[in-house]
Amino acid sequence: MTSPIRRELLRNALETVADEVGAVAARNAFSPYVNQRSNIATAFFTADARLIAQTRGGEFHCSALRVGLRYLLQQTPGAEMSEGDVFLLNDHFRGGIHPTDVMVLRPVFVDGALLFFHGSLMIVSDLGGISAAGLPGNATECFHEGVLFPGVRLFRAGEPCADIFRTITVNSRTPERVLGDVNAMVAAGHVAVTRFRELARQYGPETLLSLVDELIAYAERMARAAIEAIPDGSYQGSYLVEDDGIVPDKSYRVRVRVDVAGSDILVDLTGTDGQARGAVNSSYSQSLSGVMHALRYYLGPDVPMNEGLYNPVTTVFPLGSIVNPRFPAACNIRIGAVQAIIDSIWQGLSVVYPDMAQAPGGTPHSLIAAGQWPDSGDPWVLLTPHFGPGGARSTMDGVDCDPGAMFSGLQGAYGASLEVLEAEYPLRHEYFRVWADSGGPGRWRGGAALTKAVTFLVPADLTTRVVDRCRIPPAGLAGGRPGRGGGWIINEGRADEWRPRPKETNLPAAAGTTVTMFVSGGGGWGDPFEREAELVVRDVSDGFVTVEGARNDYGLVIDPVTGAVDDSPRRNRVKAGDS
Amino acid sequence: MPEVDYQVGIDIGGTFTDVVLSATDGSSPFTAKTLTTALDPVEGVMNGLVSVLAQAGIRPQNVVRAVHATTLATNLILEKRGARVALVTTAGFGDIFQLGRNTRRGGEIYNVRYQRPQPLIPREMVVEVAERVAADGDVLVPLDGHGDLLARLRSLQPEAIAVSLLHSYLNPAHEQQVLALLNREMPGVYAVASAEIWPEAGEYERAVAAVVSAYVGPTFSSYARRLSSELASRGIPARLEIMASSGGVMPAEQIAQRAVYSIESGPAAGVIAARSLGQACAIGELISFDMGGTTAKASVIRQGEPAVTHEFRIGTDVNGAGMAGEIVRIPVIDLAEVGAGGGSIAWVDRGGMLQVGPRSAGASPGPACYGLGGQEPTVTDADVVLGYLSPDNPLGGHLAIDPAASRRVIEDKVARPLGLPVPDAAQAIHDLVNAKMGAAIRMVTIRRGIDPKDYTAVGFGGAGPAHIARVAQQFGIPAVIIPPSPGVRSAFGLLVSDLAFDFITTNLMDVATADPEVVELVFAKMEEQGLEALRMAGLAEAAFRLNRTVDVRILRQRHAIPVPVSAGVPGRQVIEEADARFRENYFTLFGIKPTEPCQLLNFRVRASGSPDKPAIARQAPRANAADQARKAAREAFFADAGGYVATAVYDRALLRAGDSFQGPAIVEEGDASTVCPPGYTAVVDPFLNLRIVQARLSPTGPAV
Repeated sequence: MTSPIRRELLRNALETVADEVGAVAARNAFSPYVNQRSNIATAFFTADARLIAQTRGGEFHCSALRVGLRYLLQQTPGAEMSEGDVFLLNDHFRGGIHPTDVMVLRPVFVDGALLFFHGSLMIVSDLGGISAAGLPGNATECFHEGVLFPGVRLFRAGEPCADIFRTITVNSRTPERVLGDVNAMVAAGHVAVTRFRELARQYGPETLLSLVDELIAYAERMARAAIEAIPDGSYQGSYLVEDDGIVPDKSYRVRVRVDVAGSDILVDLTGTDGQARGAVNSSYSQSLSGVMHALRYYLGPDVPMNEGLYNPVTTVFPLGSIVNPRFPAACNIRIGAVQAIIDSIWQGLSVVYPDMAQAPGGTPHSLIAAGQWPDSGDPWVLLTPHFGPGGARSTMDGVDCDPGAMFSGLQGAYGASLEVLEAEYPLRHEYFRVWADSGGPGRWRGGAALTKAVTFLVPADLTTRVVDRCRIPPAGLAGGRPGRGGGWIINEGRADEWRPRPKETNLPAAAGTTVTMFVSGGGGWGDPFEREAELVVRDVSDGFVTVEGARNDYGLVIDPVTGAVDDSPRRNRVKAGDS
Repeated sequence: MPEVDYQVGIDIGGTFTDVVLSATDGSSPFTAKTLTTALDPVEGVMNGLVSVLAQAGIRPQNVVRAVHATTLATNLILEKRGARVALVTTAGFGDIFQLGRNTRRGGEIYNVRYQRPQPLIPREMVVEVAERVAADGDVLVPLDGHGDLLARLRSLQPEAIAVSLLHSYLNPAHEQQVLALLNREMPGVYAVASAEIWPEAGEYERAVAAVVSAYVGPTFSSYARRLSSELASRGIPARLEIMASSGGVMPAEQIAQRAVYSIESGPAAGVIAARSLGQACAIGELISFDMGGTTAKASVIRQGEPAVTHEFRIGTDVNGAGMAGEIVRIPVIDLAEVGAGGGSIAWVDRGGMLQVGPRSAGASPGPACYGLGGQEPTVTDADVVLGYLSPDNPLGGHLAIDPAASRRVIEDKVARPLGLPVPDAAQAIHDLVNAKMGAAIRMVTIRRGIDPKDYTAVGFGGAGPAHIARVAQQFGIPAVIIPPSPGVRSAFGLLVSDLAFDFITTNLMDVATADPEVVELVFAKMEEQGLEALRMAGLAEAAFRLNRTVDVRILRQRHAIPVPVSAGVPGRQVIEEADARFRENYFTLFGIKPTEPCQLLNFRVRASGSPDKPAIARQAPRANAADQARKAAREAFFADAGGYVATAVYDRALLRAGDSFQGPAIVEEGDASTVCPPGYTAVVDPFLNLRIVQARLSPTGPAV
């Protein structure tokens, strides 16, 4: 069989294996973030830590596995590893993201030779720190976010290292769940090892390795061809992280310069603001994932994701900045910075690819709560994330209620089943709706977001964690208006109604407290007064825009009963503009 | 001459309608393949029926059973031709379809022009009603009156109404009240309640099942009524039965009330056909592989039973291509589908890599070799170039094959860009599509902890017989079986199907504290309903079977695994069995023995019964006389034999039990062409199946 065909067959096999391994881990996981959908990264590497293949879901974590493995090998060279070793790493100064994003890495031996590595990464239920689930909005040091493991053996030659398992157990609020999560990744690793040995048997180890090299070279060729197509030049963009939840009203600017020369790309973040006290910093590997995600739109989504895509790309993340902070920075709320990197790169490249441009979108909002079951006293921890929708595109609306940017492909805006949540946690939903008028008005409207109200039936500690883009909502572009900034209301409509800050941690709440979440909508594109009336009418009937929104944002008076449109307010505005 | 009873199976697919008529004694069945008449499928059915009745020369009065599989529901969904549906939900929760649980997959993630699928129904068609049931089934807000519900519904002028209220799986009282109101006040409108269709926790999925049933229900039920009355008017006494996605058959009027169950009806019939073949041949572990023009489906039969799952997406395949559909939670035969088949188009991407699919030439323009205007090389064209399909055996008897056209398009679009000789390019297309087929098999075997090497593969559908041996080879599966008339095999499956009714009760309980009496009650109630449904369908009690399943999970883990438990034993034993089997299955699937406490989540019952089925005809083997069936020899390409080699061609109609021959060989029949590669031996068994077995490495000859 000719080599290009075998290469394509291997590519099919690798992607199938990566997805299978990811599915095994997700099915076994306990973390509520993970086990509803495949929110897990899993990847394979050569013995010298070059990426071979990775899962399609959870891609925004995958650079962490690549960087983490390189740190691990500096510390523990392959020659010191033996078959059956499994390593644990979550240190975000050594390739990690933040402490509860945990990696499990293992060498794959074939006939006694170390040929490959496999790694999985997922968020685990709880590893200590100052609030449950390891996502404290008020962290100022990594120690507030959980225990760090710098790449330690979890298994030695197939035998569990009891010391480490005990250490994990005593450092978690939910020891069984966190062990279940780690075990899920170990189980996935077993499957990975089996499959890789099968492949090695099928192809012969040497042929397999040379096909892997070919596959990497192929991806690099594809990527370089795509870069060649971008006119040489320097493209710049920047975007804000609104605040760190600690220092009020201080925002941080991410600055990106993309230099294209021939078939090489340099992404330089020099000029980005210094690291924050709060947890909005993005670790090196997380920033790298953001860069690769943004570039992939231009380098060909169909190119197999392997080392070949990294080869033409050089990055500069200034040490001590919000995109590569120094020890002991906290990093769990890093997604604002990562989305700022992505939006900046898109903004820069929109000069050459105007039809691929899109306005910034919302970031993840998570309602986290913890308490004890009244009868048993056992602790419970709830984590319900809702990802923000994307902004409007330069040629069409943003996608409503669909995670934008790097979270696309993860669970939809909906999240977990309401009935299942109510059956398993002491809570009740009051409503669960589209947040009308949240999508930024424009010629093209930004993606609409959701709002929900949850009442806790027992006392609880609440963490109202919004990553970013509430006070300074997702920007509109080309004359479009920003999306509506989200936030929280406690006891909406009651005498004791109040609004916590977007990054409040461990608010004590009495039984019967209702928390309402509003997720920020995506930014709009172009002048909203140029939006076709027909589209606004449809938005109103679909519930994405209210009658008031149509009047205030689009200058259209719509009769809620007949759907008739009066655009005199628009005419008035145009006249006013003329005079 | 004594009257003989006959049974008819009718399978409507996208292109063809297959009709099979068999006598109860199983003697030589009659088949017809007619073009599906999309606008009025009844017409195509009647054309086929007239043809088989004429072939058999029997009177319609002798047809005592009529079983049907149809893609009608799927087509209504894919073509957006369903009813105008209104949805009634709990106040505050009317936006669930606007919010959506759909996620982008595969290439959609980086598609800057991605558009999400339209919500299942427009928001203006959703009506909220003030009521609320809590997670323990208690009523928090009573359904006091219904305010302006009727007025609002009437103003929407729906053709069908779905009612889906929170926690109705635990307490369906409010749903039932609304349903009764609708039946009373809006009698002409098709109405369904979510808990009646599938009472499992999960408000979104339950609403999907209800809305989809409402969407296809009016058309489906009127179609079923028309087909029934058409059969009756032709003098056929049989009551129409329709295959459900679960592989069980239901009376037409019952499935019409929960039309979502009919969605995977055709593919399910194929698996049931494979199961029946396994029963006859005493093979319990089978992989059913059905490859047609645009899709291929794989499924597993263990210990004689098809694997059933409870979650599937409408209209998607394992590669994530195709339409990203809604998830429906009802019992469905566990099928993995890939969007590749004989019509899939091969092309070379800009990086110089060969790709097959996802585009398909379909029936029109079709593969280049049919000369209907197809200008792209397809899998079928590759098979023609390789010599697997021959101009002397036009498919279906009417589509002539032009090998020069196949060679030309493969040369232009694949061979030259890759710098390969034409036969090698054709071989590459053949191999690559086989690899994609492998993904479907991997999905239902290895991913489920099943080693395919222990299984026998059954290949059918128009393209299955030409590919199955090589597909199986990837997994080290040594033996494959090609049934007779592989192109209409799914219609045979209908003739050997059982009636079946499925039930579920969600009742979360910890194993440690589970009350055996509650478990017994839960099962007893469902079993009573099941037996009643079987009696209503007119089956004899002696043929009834009850199967129980419990969904078990580790405490606080989300994912549950269904495990079978014994029927007719005390509740305590059920709980213990469920717990023990769960731990075994978990180990098989994930390689870890869980030590944590477990929870029981859902209780399931399948009540089934066997009607009279055609006997499976058996032929006494003769001494090998395969040479008498040999009609020609031609050059066919086998890379492992060094290229084009002289290959014997056999006429399947002339093969008899006991005949055998060595590969390379090709067996031709009206609706398919079977490839027996070099190193394989083909044997005709007493049921006229072709069994193709990989020869063991022997000292006398290298097998590959």
